[in-house]
Amino acid sequence: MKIFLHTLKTLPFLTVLFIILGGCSLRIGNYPLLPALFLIPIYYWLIFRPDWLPLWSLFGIGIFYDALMGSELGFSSLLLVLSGLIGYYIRPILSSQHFFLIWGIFCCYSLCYLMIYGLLFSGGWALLFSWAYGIVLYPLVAWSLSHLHLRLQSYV
Amino acid sequence: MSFFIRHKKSAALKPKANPYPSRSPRWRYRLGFTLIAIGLLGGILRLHKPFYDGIEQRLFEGTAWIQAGFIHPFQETRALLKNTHVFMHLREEYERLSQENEKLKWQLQTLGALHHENGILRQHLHIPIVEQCGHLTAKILSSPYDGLHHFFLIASGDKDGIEKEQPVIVKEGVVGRLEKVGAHVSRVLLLNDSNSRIPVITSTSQQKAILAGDGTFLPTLVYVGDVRKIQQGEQVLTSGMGGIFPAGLPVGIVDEITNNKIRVRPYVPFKSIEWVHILRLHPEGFREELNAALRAE
Repeated sequence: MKIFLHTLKTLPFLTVLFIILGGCSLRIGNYPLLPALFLIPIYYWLIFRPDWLPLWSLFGIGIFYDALMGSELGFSSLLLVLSGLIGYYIRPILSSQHFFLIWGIFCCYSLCYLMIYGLLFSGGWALLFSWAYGIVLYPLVAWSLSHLHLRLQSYV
Repeated sequence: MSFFIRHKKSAALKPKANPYPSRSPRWRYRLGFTLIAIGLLGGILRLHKPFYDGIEQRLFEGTAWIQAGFIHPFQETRALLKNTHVFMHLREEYERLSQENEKLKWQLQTLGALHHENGILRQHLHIPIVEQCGHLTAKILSSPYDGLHHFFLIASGDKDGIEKEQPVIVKEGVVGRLEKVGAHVSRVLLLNDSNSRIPVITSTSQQKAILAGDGTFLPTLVYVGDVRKIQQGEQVLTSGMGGIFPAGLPVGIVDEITNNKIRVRPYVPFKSIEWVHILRLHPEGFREELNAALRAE
């Protein structure tokens, strides 16, 4: 059972990688789902299980994303580690009873992330649409993650 | 699934925000240290270009390999469905291919005469005849063509004998060039990426220019000889300068001219292509031919 628990701790890392790999070729209309889509699991885990998504994990995810997308290595890592820092201060004011508050803060967080990301890449409308898709898809992805997380956790 | 889950509590399962007290100085110290370490290490590595390039190449190969492995089952399923559809319409497909084959045979005969004529003209102009370039057909693994990312991952690499900077085309025209080449997977930089620059020439007004991608779906023409001579709807071809793309490959059509800014609509339907051709040009021979042609001019 201990092995299963340790395996469970890699769940955030694996879900983020899964969403990056799956979302890489996905688009709605002419606009991308990434990078806003992969911010959803990161935000979720940073809020609900930050101990399962440590800094090295965020750093690794950032490097993986940059290497896959061909962008400057380390840029996403830096943004994600900063997200970890912000999550650390935001977490105390959140409560699981107020889903709309969590969703609203995700909107602000993803907007800030994409604005900084947009400084490096000339995304324009594509980034704005990605942000909108991220907001719309947040409840669905967060709901799936919460079921996966809590059911597996309850099993352990 | 229910037999697998063992609920400890009968209450509804809800994630609990902030279950851990986290305002500890140790955590802050660790984060600060990590940020400084990332900054220092990243800065040093970035300045040392050969080392950075090596790391970037290895990471690209690793991530591309994972991506290829992840996408493979989906692609196989898609291929299976497509094959089923083809099998159901086998007769129509056979007739279509027979007709196409006849057309191609006829074109080949015409091209034979042109090839002969070209050889004679080259002899008269003293242009050396270089080895004809071959091509390799490769399958596209992933194509995040979405206004933000402009590249394709293709299932060919070093093992197939392709090299960096080789041109990538489809039957409609130029797609881009090889940006990174791994062992089995490579990345194609599309012509509308902001890092892409292709020397081109307009078909009617004969104006040389550079086709510069700017991250939008319509790349622009820059360094144009005379902007006023260019007409809307004019064809844009590769000029053969620069030593990467051979001359005469179709690129696109002049779509709009506003405030001396010329936008080109590429011929290639980036969203729907599944295969690409990589031209195996020999850069040395190509440059030699180009220089000889320029001297002859």
